[in-house]
Formats: sequence, structure tokens, C-alpha cells
Amino acid sequence: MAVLTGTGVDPAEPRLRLLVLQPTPFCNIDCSYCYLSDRKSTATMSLETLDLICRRVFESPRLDRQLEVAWHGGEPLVVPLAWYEDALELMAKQRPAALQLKHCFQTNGLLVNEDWARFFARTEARVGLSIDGPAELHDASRRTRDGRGTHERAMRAVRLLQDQGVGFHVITVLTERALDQPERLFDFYVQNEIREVGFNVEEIEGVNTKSSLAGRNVETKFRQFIKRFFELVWTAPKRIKVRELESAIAHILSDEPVRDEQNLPFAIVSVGYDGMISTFSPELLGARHPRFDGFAFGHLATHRLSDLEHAALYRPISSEILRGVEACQRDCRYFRWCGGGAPANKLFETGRFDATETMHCRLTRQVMLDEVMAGIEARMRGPEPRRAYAGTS
Amino acid sequence: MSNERDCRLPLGQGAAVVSLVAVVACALASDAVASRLPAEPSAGERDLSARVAAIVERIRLGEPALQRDLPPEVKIAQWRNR
Repeated sequence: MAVLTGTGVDPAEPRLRLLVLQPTPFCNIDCSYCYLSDRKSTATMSLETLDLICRRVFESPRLDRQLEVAWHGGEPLVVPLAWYEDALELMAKQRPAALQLKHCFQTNGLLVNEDWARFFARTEARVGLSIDGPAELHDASRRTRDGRGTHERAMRAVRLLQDQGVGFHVITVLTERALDQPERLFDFYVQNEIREVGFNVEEIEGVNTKSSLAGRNVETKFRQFIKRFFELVWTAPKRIKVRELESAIAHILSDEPVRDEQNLPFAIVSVGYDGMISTFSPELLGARHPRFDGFAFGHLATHRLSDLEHAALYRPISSEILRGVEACQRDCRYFRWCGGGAPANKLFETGRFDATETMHCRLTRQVMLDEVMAGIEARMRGPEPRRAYAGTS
Repeated sequence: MSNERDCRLPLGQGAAVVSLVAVVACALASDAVASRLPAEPSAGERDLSARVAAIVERIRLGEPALQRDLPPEVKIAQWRNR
């Protein structure tokens, strides 16, 4: 058992913080911006594979006292609830005594019912629901394979989780059409008592090779959206917590330079349904790119986590990622508050891991920091701007 | 100060969300800050580090109890799909 120190691991090396498990690549819907290539595959993880995962991960000297286990698909809830009952019990039995496991599920919510909600409550699992705002915005991208919207069922999940007192947050993917509607989005969250929100951007990643945010002048619209959303949250800061605004402020307040866990080898370990292992950006697992044979560095049946550093594919990829971070450090004035960007976005936007600026980093790091700083500075200078919010108050 | 700016709520989960935005709003609303610091000039093209330093100074003046040593999860840019 290897929880913390005394195990020969350099204390400066990153600790394993996040284990991303893919119980299945299958998804029951077909979002327009999805990056997953295998989302029609109905393969599922076996308990034998999970047992191997536990053995490999729990023997790792990189473990810390707490490990977040993110069940992420495909859609994780297409695997039966009974499987998770066994899976969480197995993990609880196998874990080192000093290790705390925190489970979280990222789901589209369509299959959430009373049983699932009770399971989340009982296991104190954290739930992330993918909801893109009001029905019109959500259903424009998040549809079933036969083209039907999914908003109504996703909102049913909100109610079920609220009824069971399950802590959850909503992840909203921002597309260009959302950028004109900050008030409408804010109103939607407040009216539905959604207290925590994370904004993802429509990314160029994996099989999704285009983004509505890549168009001309869209960055200006994105900037205006964030500026306005910050104003709205500022007027009602107890109603809603927005992950990006919180992160930007936290990074501003931090005495230490920010690091990005996606650039730290083995800070994140991702395991596919079949036992293939990867690290760095979780989106790399199962992804394809002309320059590489894949991004799985080994298989749990044959590799310990510590073996992966010697895998043929690992060295060129990790070196290229490191060069990318060094280039960001050298060239980018935002590096102190960013940590070098996300490797998957660099690769899929530019074809290389050692690139620097991407659309993803401009929107999620640079614009975010700019607008949060400008918002705070405006309020440091004097009376707050009075742009009234006419919606729910 | 409106109820939305009530700074007395403890940090943590509850009926109301207590966020860093709320903490900063409270810090800037502090009378001590208003009386001790002159208004900042426009940010313009000032160096990013200098702007951050000015913001941090102002916030900490209004909210001295705010921890300097933030937990690891906020010092690290985290993967966004969870």
C-alpha cells in the first residue's frame, strides 16, 4: 500500500489525483459536438477488469490520501445500476485503508431515475449533468440518434437529484448561439435552482473537427458573454457558482503559479472499458490521430502504472507535451495563471502537442482571466456599473 | 449592501452558494478598503502581473482572513469534463 511518502517517489512528482474510468464508450444520444469516435460501441467494462484497475492503481506509489474516480463514458448510466453497486463495493474493499475514494458521474441525465438518485445519495457520489441551458439551446445540439431533443428528460434528472438531496453541478457546452443569450442562460439556472455551473466550450477535438466558436469575431462575442455573465453573477453571488469565474479568481489569488493537471504525467490516469491505460488529457484515450498509433500506453493485464513511462509511445508524446508547456512558459504572458494549456486541444487544433496558443486556451484561459480581472478592476475603481438584470431576482 | 452581499455567511455548502465571487464582492465592499486605497487608474495595457498584484492587494485588504494557501484543487487548472 502506497498512500503518501516513504515509497521512493520524489515528493515533487505529481500525485495521482484523478482516475477516469470508462465503463462503456457507448452513448445513448448523439450530440453534434461529441469528440468520441466509438460512441456506438456497446462494449462494457467487466468486474474482472475493474479488479485489475484496483490492483494497479492501489499499488501505485503516486497515490495520495484521496482519489477522485470519475465515471465518464460514453454515457456511464447505460451500464446497469447493479454493476455499479458491485463495482463500488469492490473498490471499497480493495482500497488501501488510508485512501479516500470520491466517486463522480458525468451523465446526460436521461437514464436517471429514483433508484439512481438514491444510489448517488447513498454513495455520496457527485453528479455532473450535461445541460446546455433552456430547451431551444440544449436541443439544438444534444439529440437522440433519431433527432429528438433530450432537454425534457435531462431536466427530469435535475428534479430527481434535487428531491434526493444529491449534490450536482451542470456542465453547459457553449456554442456560438448561446453567446447572445447570457441573461437567458442565467435565468434558466436561477429558475431551476441550479447552483453550480461549469462552462465548457465547443471544442475541436477527436472526431469533432469543427467548432462554431472558431469563426471570425466569435471571440469578441465570447468575451462579451463572459463579461456579462460575470456582471450577472456579481449581482447575485449566492445564487450561483460558476466554475470558470471561481477558477480565475482562485488562480489570481494563488501565491503559486498554476499548473495544469493535464500536463502532469499520471496526475490523471484514464482507463478504457477494455483495460487500456492512458494519461495526460482523458480525451486522448480511444482517440485517433494520423501522427500516432493511439494514446493507450499499455494494458492493465501486462503493465503497472510505473511501467508506462517506458512504453514506446510514451516518451515521444510526453516529450512533445513538455516542449509545448515550455514554449507556453516562454512565449505566453498568461502562463502563470494557466499552466500550459490542454495537450488534447493542442494536438487536435494544431496537429502537435508542442504548440502553444489554441482557440481553447484563448477562450477558456485568456478571455476568462481578462474579463474576471476587468470586472474586478471596474468595481475597484468606484460605484458598480448598474446594468440591471430584468430576470428572476 | 443588499442581502446578496451579506458577508457573514460561513464558507461551505448550504441553501446559499458561497463563492469566491461573493468573497471578492464583500472584500471590495469593505469600508476599510474604500478609505485606505485610492481609486485605481484604468487598467489599459498595464503589465498583467502588476494588475493581478493590485487586485490581490485590494482583496486581501478587504478580506484579511482569506487564506493565502488555497487548496490544491484551485491551484491547478482542472480537466473540465467532470
